[in-house]
Amino acid sequence: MTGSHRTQCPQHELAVGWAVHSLEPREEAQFADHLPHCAECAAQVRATEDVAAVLGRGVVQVDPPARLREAVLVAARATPPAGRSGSVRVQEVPRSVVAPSAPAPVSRFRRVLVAAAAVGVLAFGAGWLGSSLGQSAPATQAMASNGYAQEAVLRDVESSRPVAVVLAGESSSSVVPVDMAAAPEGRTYWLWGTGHGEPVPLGAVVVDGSGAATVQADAVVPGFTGFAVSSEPGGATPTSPTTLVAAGDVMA
Amino acid sequence: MVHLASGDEGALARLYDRYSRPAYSLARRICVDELLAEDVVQEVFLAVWRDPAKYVADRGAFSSWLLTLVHHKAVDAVRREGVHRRRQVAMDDETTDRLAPETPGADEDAIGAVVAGDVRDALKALPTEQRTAMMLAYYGGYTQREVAALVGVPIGTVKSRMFAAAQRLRSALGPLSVDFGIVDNRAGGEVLR
Repeated sequence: MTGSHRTQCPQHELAVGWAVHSLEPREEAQFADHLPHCAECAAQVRATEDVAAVLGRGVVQVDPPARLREAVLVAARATPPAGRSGSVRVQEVPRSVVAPSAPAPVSRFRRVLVAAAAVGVLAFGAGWLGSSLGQSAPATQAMASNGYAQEAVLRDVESSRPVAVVLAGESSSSVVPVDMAAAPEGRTYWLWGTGHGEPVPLGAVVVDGSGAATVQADAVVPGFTGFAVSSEPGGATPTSPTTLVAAGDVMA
Repeated sequence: MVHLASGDEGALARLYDRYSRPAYSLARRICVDELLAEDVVQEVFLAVWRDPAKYVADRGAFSSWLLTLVHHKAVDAVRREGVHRRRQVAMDDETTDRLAPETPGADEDAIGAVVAGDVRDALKALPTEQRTAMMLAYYGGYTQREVAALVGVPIGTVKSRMFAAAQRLRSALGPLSVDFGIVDNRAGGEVLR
């Protein structure tokens, strides 16, 4: 691998910079285009990365804080693993309790709890969800009264962190905030149904002091494939989303 | 990685338990800020969780790939934070003083102590200008253009120095990178399969 110092490729010196992430953006883009077509540079990159990793092991070893492990695992539960994009994986019922030809007999209420847990509400909220359930919060009432519910995890459009869970019923929807502050002064959050052409405004979302939020919709069209929250000026009903805040697909 | 690909959270936990210490240690070294380093480590493990297929076994040891990912994300994090903090630590990055101590602490495993010692020796054996360029780039997160500005030489000179440094380090540390992978495969086989 060490061999001769002579190289044929005129970009070989960029390979080291690429491997240690020290190229300027323009050079990085240029080398990214070049790399798949140059075995010499690819070998140089691999060899340099291997050595750089040893440099990485040469630093003082420090144990990470205990909280980081939990944070990673909780975040992973809210993140679709490989091959599944757009929706949060719902905890599956063990095979032993499910008849081969029957759908998983998971109650809607249990699915709501699992959905909330999947985004870390139970972990982050320090019992917020539990207290809301016990106090007959609007979200609880929606869960109890709706004939059916669609659930969707809404993620911040910039950071992808989970910010809310939507529970959509026939006559009303609830938005369960996970990490969503009140709307800025002079602006209102609106919930939208998506998947039927243009987004459909479902109602204003008001985050109250207890953290729960409700949406009083005039009509909820069943069968949305997703939901979104936008930030709108004033309180008038918008015709299309102005500033998208979060979005997510309905869970299967 | 097959377990990760199937969404096995236990596999992620085992992966974290095995690699979080070197990952966090490198992130702390580059980021300095503890919370920033934590964010980097979380970002790295989530990236592996989201797409374990990005690691291709025949392209090198998993540990090398993971630490490369940690390094790149830590450098990105430092760059996002801005230049002011980095200028203050520029001089620190030129020296080997912030590498693992020559006398390892009681909690340093034997292999870790050997690796740290060899890294220190290999870096010290480099010509000063090559060591400076490589350490500013790798541990400091500076681009080659920034390194050139810091040391007052043309960028082409920095590229040549880093290329030469990498060649020398490969000769000195190459066997360690292979051994690092072997250690991984023995003890971490159940995680990687």
